[in-house]
Amino acid sequence: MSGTLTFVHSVHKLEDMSSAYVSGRVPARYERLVTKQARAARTSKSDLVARYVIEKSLETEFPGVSFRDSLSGREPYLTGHRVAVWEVLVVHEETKSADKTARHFGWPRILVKRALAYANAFPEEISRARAGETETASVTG
Amino acid sequence: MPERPKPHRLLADENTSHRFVSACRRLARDFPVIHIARWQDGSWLGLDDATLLISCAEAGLVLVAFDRATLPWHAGQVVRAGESHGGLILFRRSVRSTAYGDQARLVTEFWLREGRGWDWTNRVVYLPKSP
Repeated sequence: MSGTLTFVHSVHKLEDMSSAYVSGRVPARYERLVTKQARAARTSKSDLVARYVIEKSLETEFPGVSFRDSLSGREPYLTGHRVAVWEVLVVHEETKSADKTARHFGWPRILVKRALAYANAFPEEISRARAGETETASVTG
Repeated sequence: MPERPKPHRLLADENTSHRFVSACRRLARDFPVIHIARWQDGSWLGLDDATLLISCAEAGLVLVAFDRATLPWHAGQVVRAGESHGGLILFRRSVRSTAYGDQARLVTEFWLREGRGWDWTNRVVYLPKSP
């Protein structure tokens, strides 16, 4: 069921920022894999590669943050947990303290700090993800 | 003699706090709620929404979470794919993330009054309930 979101997702909208060209050679089997994945995601190979480059570089820059599909697009979340970065921000806005936020989730403080660091670096993206999850009318089965 | 159906239990998703679970137990001793971090030694923490919903159905668990658009959307997708989920209780956006007492009151009152007697398969309830 995890592959049910088939529309194209983007976290960092390329049209909103200046873009640059990145290229690199990979073994043919990975090219075939990316082509297959792009077809499944109904997007172009170049868009999918761009997404992979962006997300992997962000995951390296912000350890502990990964990306997943959400109804409003790709969203950053805490690796190995079910909580999105914007959800950490919501609790932090209420507690106004990293320690209290950590206690809320039962996490070490460093996880909260990492989520907040990402939110500080990409406030518009986090705000968009939050709006997408909280302002969209719920769709129930 | 027919086998009695197993009573449902509630599983608090990770966007709720352990403090919500403790508050439920303060209001109703032995209230059947467990936090996902404690369930199965925390091995369900890494599950995506759809997998978690299906796993909850298999385990007789009703998932309690804050309303995120994606979670009920996945619940709908699970049903459309011919699978079942074990039920969802979602806190409306008016309920603050850190209002543990309010959350516990809403859930325990609803559960003890009516929710525990329901068939929760593929059911979604928002708290507070609409008047």
